[in-house]
Amino acid sequence: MKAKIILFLGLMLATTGLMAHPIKMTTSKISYDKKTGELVLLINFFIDDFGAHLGKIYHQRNVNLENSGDTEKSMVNAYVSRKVLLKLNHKASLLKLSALNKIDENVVQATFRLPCKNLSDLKLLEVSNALLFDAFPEQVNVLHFDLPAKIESSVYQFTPSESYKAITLSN
Amino acid sequence: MSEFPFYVKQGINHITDIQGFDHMLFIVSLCAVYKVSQWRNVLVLITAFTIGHSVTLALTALNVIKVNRELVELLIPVTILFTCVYNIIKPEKSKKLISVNYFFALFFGLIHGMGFSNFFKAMMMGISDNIIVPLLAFNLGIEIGQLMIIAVFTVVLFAFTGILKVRHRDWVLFVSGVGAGLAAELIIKGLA
Repeated sequence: MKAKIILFLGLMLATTGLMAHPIKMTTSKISYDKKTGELVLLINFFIDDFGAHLGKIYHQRNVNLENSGDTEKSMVNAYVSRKVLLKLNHKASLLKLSALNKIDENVVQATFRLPCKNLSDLKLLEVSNALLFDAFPEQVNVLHFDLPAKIESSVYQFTPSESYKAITLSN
Repeated sequence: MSEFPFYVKQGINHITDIQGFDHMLFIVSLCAVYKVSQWRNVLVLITAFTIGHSVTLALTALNVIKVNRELVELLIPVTILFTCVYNIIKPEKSKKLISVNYFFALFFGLIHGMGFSNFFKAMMMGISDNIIVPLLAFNLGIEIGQLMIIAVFTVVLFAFTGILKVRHRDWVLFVSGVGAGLAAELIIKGLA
């Protein structure tokens, strides 16, 4: 009888609102395209979460990020431009979507390009990344750097409590 | 932060994340049947779990095998429920229980490795071709996290059974009951 009571108490304690491992994450990479003299920003989103959120904020029923059309591209461009801010040497840069492709099961990759004629002139890069913080409190955004310039770190993580980084570059 | 410590930290955070507690719960469920004096058995158990999850984490991360993310997320609480139910229904002094637990740790570790790989691949998706160093660092982080969980669990176990003199069988029933309840809830949510 005592064992049953203990087991019952254990089971009762288990009726909480805990969740299985949620993966709420975007991954990004900033690299440099020597040929065009541009910084290239790749951002990867989970299609299900991102599509649902875009649909919600832009009041669209069917957001098809599996096979994106002009409507989806325009929503992605508008959303990312609002949530990701890049400043090159204290000067804000306008993000412009150049491609939006599905790259894996449930993963869509948005490519943005920023003019940066001479990378060696770039001394300070300020990044503000608040992607999907308005959708999920546990959201984390990871930013990788693949630049020929020296950089203090190759990976940065953005969270709702820490969404801004100032990154110093040297040659 | 440079790449290696970043991924070690991600591994630790992933397994010790209280909001996504499934892997932690499995480790606790596995260790529930052991007494403080059986720490050697726990080490063997965790080694078996490590072998299991490392194999599938590597194979999945390197795209040698493909897994269904939703199915894996559903199977993980099934492994917890299975382990907990086995802890409850088996007699207290069963040597077989120990060796069956090693098997659970190894076999179910394979499933948890696929779960780890879901998170790892999410971090790496479309970003880098060279994933060996991040993979090693992430796995190391998971091992460190596992040891942290076991250390805390052992202290709690000692407090209850060593200081408060709770019977070990009652402890097993309680921990396994909590584990089974949580796992059942996760399975129901996963099926919904």
